[in-house]
Amino acid sequence: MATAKRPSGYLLTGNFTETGGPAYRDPNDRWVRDAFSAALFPTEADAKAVADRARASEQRVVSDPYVCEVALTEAGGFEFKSARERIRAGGPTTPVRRPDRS
Amino acid sequence: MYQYDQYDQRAVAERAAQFLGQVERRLSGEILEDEFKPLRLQNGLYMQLHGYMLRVAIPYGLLSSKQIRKFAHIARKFDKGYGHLTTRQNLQYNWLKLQDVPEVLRELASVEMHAVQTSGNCIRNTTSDQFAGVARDEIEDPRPYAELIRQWSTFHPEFAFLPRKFKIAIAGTDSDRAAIYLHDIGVRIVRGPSGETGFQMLVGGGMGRTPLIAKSIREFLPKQHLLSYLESILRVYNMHGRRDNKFKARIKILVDALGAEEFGRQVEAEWALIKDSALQLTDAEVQRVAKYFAPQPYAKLPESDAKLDALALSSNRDFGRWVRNNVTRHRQPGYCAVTISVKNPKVPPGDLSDTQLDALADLADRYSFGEARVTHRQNLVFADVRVDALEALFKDLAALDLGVANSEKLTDVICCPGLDYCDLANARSIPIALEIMQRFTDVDYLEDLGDVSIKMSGCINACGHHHVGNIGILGIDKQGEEFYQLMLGGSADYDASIGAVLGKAFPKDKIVEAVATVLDTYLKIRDSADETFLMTYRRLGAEPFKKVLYGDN
Repeated sequence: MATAKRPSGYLLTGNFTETGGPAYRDPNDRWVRDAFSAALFPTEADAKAVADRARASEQRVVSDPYVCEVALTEAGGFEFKSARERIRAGGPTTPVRRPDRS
Repeated sequence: MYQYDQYDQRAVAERAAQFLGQVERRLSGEILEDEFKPLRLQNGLYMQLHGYMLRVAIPYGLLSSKQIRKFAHIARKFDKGYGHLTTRQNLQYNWLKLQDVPEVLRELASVEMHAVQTSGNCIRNTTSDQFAGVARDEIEDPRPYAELIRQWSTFHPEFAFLPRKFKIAIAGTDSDRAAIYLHDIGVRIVRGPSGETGFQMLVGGGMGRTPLIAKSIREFLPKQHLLSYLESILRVYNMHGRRDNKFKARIKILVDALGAEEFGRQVEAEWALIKDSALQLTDAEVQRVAKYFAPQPYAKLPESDAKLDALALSSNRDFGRWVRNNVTRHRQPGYCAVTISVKNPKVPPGDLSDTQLDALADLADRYSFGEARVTHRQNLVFADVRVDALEALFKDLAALDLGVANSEKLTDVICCPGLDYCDLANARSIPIALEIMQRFTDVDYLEDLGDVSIKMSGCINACGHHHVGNIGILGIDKQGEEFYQLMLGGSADYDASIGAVLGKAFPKDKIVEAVATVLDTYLKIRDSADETFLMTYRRLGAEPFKKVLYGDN
């Protein structure tokens, strides 16, 4: 039997201008580091509208905001659909010499 | 090595100051990312998956101990304690904060370094042979010409906005250690009809989406015409290279479309207009630059080949193996060149910690006249080591986890940063490289395999040179999952060849097993222990390997 395709949700991501690190838009319209605190938008159009506003007025905080499609889980969370976004969110999967300086 | 004059020093200092202003305006919001991006790329600053990445230029891979110490300091103060050596003889930092980059550029300028033209559609770092100046089969030291090319190409006003990036490599020996056939322009030092040295000019090589081997458009170019001829090639490319499609914009596409003969004809026509211009190199100018690469003040020592042969059979097996694999004979009696493998199975290939960098600077001072070279295989070379100091050097390197005896062996893997770091990547490469290095630890097996190169890239851009590995691995994305294509038969030497894809890609938990199968097959079908992997592949083709991997499918 074929596996049912999971419904999609959309979140907003970009890179923090100061550090270049991944940034995620949370439900309070703040940009945060934790991907799993990101707000989920029901449609791509909803997310894109916010991305466009951020690109126009929030570039001191975040660069190149874009919409990322995710797969919604039954538990109410989400999973990233691509290895790229998983690794962006989780950090390199290989040894890094030293943890964050900060 | 070359020493900056007042103009060089002012240029890099002014560039750092200029970038400070640009960063301040970006952070204040005065300029937006679309405006800032070309500015930061002109200073070698990328935005990758986890942060800003700065690519520092190391002209033809040559470093002083002072510069290595500076790398350590920057890694410690501004990054996460390490730097990464690249396949173009540069160094990358992966974790810089934007506000710190101008200070980093100032620090680099203080030791005659910079990040100019390490990114963007311009002429990039000119690379060369890591044994330049010391190799026994060298016709002439390529470094003075690499330095002349660097001076000519840096801030060249006509070539600041080329259709695409442009890479030049120069070699001067019987073995190509600079992969010149895989560059936009390859310059090979050759002897002319009367025994004088000059250059064979190759154009249109490259990897990436459309791998192509460079074609010769001039078999012999007299030395004095080097810069004017390069200028002519660049002018034809700048005029006719495609700007409508980023993926078809490299010079290799133009050369392939026109044909080498027609391309060469156009270059010669352009060159006829400028060959007698101020670009002509005088003997005085060549000598002025060449004196920066004069031989080191070597001690007068006896011949040492017999001593090296004996050391290679040392009762200390680890040391003996290291001499056999990592030490290269030198043109100066009593000296040798040492390849320091930066391929330890515990860390990503090509990564050096700040502690290692500091220690290497001290070792360079102690053993190799204060200099080191980065190789395009992401290793380091001490080019002028006394043979009688080898045991002491080996001990010092081993204490730093840098005594791995695998130069040009299987676990001397070339590997790009891949999806763990790179915004362009489709799949991870470092974990596969580490798995290979951790799997194949039997040193006798590695020596039995002989010289075999594994080169891997996390995407088609081929920064890991996968097209020209004897075994090449390309990471791809199939519906969000990482898979790996295996190709065989590549070579970056003068007999350059592009590897052929064997078949269906392997999932990430099967690719290393597939490599093991390929190696076992090679051992079974080779003619003798003297037949290298590449020779066996060229003799028998892909079929024996395809059969064991895929059966009759």
